[in-house]
Amino acid sequence: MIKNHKGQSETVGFVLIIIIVTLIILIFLYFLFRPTSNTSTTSADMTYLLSAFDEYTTNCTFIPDLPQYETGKDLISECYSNEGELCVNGKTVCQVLNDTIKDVIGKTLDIGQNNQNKAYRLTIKYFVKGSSEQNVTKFNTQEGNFVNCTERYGGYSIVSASPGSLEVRLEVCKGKNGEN
Amino acid sequence: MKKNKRSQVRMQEMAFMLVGVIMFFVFVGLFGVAILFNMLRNSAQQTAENNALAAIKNLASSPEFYCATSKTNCIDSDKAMALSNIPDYKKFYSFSRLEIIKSSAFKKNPSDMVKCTMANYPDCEEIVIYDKNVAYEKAVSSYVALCRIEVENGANYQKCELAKLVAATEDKSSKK
Repeated sequence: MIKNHKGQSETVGFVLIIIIVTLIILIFLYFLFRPTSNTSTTSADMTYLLSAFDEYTTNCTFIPDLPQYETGKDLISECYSNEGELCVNGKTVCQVLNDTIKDVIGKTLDIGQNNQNKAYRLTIKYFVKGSSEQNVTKFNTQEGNFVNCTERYGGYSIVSASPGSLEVRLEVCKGKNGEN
Repeated sequence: MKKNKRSQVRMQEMAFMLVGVIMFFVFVGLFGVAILFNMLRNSAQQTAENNALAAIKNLASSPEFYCATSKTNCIDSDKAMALSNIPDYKKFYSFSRLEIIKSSAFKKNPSDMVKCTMANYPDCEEIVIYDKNVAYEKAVSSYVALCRIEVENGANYQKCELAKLVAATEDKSSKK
């Protein structure tokens, strides 16, 4: 009777070991084949958004009654080199740049605490390759707060500003509402 | 006699256990195959979407769309309008639908967007280059600068606005 009981225990133990090993193999397979996140695609999207913004026609012109409107790229450059310069509408180039960015991002990303995208930050940094004057922030604008982000994604573009370059970087905070 | 009966019971127990173990592995195998098949199908769909995305990113630099002034990632709005009136372009591209949506309509439902015609252009929101009217499709989009020549105070200038180039491919996985 005791021998029979021992045999049953061995069988139960054997089945338990098989179940545990199978579960470990399944978990391993899941992590091996699980789908990768598509962050890179979204980041490419943001880079294309900044690239389109570079050519965007703003409402800033320096010559009255002549439609020589500055593009987004021109304003980025002007805001760096001559931030106090006034457009015909009386606003400085940096003010117009800030307004234009807010308008464009507002139309595209739909920023809000209860929305898919909770916040964005756009920074423009000046850098000269091989120089000590690197990564000096020249412009910074932000909407919303970067808290409880489930994912951060973004893109960048480069605008020439001789002798260096301006790096425009956009970072977006995606919240839990965006996981649908 | 008693010993023989006990052996029979033990053999039965062993047989039941073996059947149970085999059944367990069969179910685990089926489960694994279902997961792998699902992943394969998703991967195929993802590849089709990525191909469509890569293709539309190159569309902006194709002669049919690019702006004459050497702007990057720019689509000539007038060219797009001209293309929308040529039905042969349905056969030229592999997409089921190709359209351009201006930024003013990004948050609108497709039914609320003002479609561009020769009568209302450029005061419209959606340039449909073609639409094969496929029932199930997946769309990918890319941001572009949409430019056209405008006249103000008797002078010409190029006005560029933000837009989305949308390309849809037939979604074979949703077909029943």
